[in-house]
Amino acid sequence: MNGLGIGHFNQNQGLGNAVDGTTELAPSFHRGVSLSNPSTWHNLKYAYLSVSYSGNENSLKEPSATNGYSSLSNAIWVVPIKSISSIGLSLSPYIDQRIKLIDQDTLSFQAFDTTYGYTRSFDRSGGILSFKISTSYKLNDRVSFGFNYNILFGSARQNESINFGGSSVVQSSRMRYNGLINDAYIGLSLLDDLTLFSKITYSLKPLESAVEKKYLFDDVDGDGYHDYDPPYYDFPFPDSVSSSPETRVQNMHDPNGYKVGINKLFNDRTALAIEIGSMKDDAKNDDSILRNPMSNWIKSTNSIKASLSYYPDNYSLGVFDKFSFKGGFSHSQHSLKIDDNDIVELGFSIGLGFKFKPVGNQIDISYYFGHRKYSDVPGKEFIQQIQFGISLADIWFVKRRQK
Amino acid sequence: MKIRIPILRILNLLPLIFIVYNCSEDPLTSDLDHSGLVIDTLTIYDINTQNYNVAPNLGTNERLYLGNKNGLDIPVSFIEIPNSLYWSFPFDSTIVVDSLRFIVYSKDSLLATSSTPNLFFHPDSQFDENSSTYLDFSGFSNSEWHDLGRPYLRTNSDESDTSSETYGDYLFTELVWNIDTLLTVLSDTLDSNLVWSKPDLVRSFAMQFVNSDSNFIELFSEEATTGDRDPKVIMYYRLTDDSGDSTIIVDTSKIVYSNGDLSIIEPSEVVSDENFIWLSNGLGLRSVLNIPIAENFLPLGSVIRSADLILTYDTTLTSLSYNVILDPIESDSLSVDTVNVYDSDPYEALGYPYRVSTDAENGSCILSLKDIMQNITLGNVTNLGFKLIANEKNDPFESIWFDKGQTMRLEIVYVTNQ
Repeated sequence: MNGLGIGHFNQNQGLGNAVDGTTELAPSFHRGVSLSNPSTWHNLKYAYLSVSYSGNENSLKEPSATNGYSSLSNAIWVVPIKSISSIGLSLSPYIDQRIKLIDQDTLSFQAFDTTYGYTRSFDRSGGILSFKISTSYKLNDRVSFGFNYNILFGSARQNESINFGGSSVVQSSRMRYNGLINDAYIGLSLLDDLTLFSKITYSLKPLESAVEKKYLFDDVDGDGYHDYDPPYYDFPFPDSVSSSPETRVQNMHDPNGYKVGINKLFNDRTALAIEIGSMKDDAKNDDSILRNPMSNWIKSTNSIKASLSYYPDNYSLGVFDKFSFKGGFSHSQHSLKIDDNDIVELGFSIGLGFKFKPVGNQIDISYYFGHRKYSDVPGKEFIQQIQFGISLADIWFVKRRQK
Repeated sequence: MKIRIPILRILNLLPLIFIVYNCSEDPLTSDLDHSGLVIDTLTIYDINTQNYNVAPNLGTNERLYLGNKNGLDIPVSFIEIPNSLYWSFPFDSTIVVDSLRFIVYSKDSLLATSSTPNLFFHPDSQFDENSSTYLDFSGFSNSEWHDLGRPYLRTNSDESDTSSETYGDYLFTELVWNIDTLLTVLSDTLDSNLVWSKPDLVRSFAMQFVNSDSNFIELFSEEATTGDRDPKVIMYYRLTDDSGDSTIIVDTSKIVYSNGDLSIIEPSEVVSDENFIWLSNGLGLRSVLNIPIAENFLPLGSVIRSADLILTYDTTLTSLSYNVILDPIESDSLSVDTVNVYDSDPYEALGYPYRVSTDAENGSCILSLKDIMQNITLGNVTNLGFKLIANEKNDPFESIWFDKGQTMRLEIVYVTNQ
């Protein structure tokens, strides 16, 4: 999916972090708290710094290919304010743009009395990060609001290459991205044990990019860079050419959509949540000067998720009462812009947390397994993700008396 | 509750496991037909050419010539001997100069003394290796030169290894002139105020056949070797060393190598044939090519993979390997004609890195213009035409005739992003 449009959305790769489980809106970190849902943060008793790190593996059977990578998946700092509001900052990957594609077959070209065999390839690296400034406010015991101000930023480098006659001719491009996307959250307590959550996403400033296309060059030394390292000199000589003027491409990603979830508490420590969502991307990449490696992108996504959460006991001294458990499944259907092909993903996750220290520090580990079915590609893609998270709690901004 | 230390250690390992997680990057195969990169070709015909004549100067040729051959007359060859500290030896009380010898080398094993030229000496510089031509020496006379007569010959054979199969094989012939009489002149202090202290002062030697017969001789020039067969002067002397308890007398020698030589080549007639591109460094025949292209002759942003100028020739008229040089013209110039003989080339050329050369072989000569063509598309260089010349190291008595017409073409393979 990294090849579609501007890349692979992090929200479509397993779990968002190690602490929240499958669902985003329903509480699973603590009772009444989801770190992904600001409208629940005022229920925290302490400020939290939570960091999650993930390892991912995507594999295809046909053609056989396996890609793996690890990275920070989420870092969030939340400060509850007098149990009625909160403020938080978070940093997480938003889009992964890494991809390496090569032609299926070697093609041929007749030039004068020589026949050249050639292959094309596409190589892109980089991505987009999301920096969120979030807040929440509890209107009363039944209604609370949350808000994300989501700043997107990042950069990428891509090489389109055509290899023939012993070296590649490369079109290199650099992109810098920025955009603003907001999320508004509402939490509505219908009954003492039944809570409704919702989220609306809209673009304040659709993602745009400043694209700098470099001059085509013959990559004689084969390193992918337009340089000279004697005795190899890329052609033309790097100093003899200049890049095209920087071009701005707008509306590369313009999401809007909603999510609705309901959380049912069965007792103090057990809850079942169901969440549905729909997201549309009004991106206009048709006339983009950026060539998509797969000439297509996700137009809309519909998803349904369910999770079962077992919270730790805040007051028990028993070791087993310090553990929390999260399990769930998700089903997503992505519709593509061109030719209306679908990508259907089914995934399952389990997670285990362990709470320690009186303030509620917690370590979490989660595992996600899923598979994607592309309507135009035989075989399935399998996804495995393992995440490790640690959340440290403390009381911030409190004047302590000197002893 | 306290977490036990072993548990903490295990937990500390978890982030490490993540960090060293084995990342892999398998490329995926895909249909990249929508890629904008395409290979394309362009062939340019209608290349205009114009032959012109430049008085030949073969200062960098590896041979010296004298006599007549293939319509070329070489009346004189000059050799320059630079100033040297050795010329002060006659003023050193510990040195006795025994003899001076002037030597040039030939690879003709059958050379006879009767076929050798006379050597003449002049105490001043008489030519410029890089620019002098026959036009500078029309009516040349050696009457003011000091005639040193004919040389005696020494034949050298391979005696380096008696076990070798090449032992005794002929190597070269030395033409040796006794120039003892020049010792006084070479070390003269009267008219030149210690000549050896003037580094720019040079002495000129000239070789000429005195009987103007049809003899032809070919000798090694200073460009041929790194010293061993260069024209040279050898000073043999006796050194007396009485600094110790006893007096030691050593017979030894010093060599002064030539620092310039030139054969004056005079074509017997100005030749022209507009049906061919005719190149000869002996005849001074050159050609200028105009390739009809503008700066935007390729799509904007294209990169050239190859740009080959293809010239064909008749193999029966040209030796097996003939080196040709193509050099872009740097500044616009008046048009040339085939009637005049120019003192020097009227076209200034760009030279390195755009100057290209190749051997014409098997009936065709393929010159790579990739670099210059790319820079024309980039606007870094203006297309003012190209100078096509024969390499000075070619045999000056050989020529090459390239066909004009449709066989002469520029074939370009390039990649563009549509």
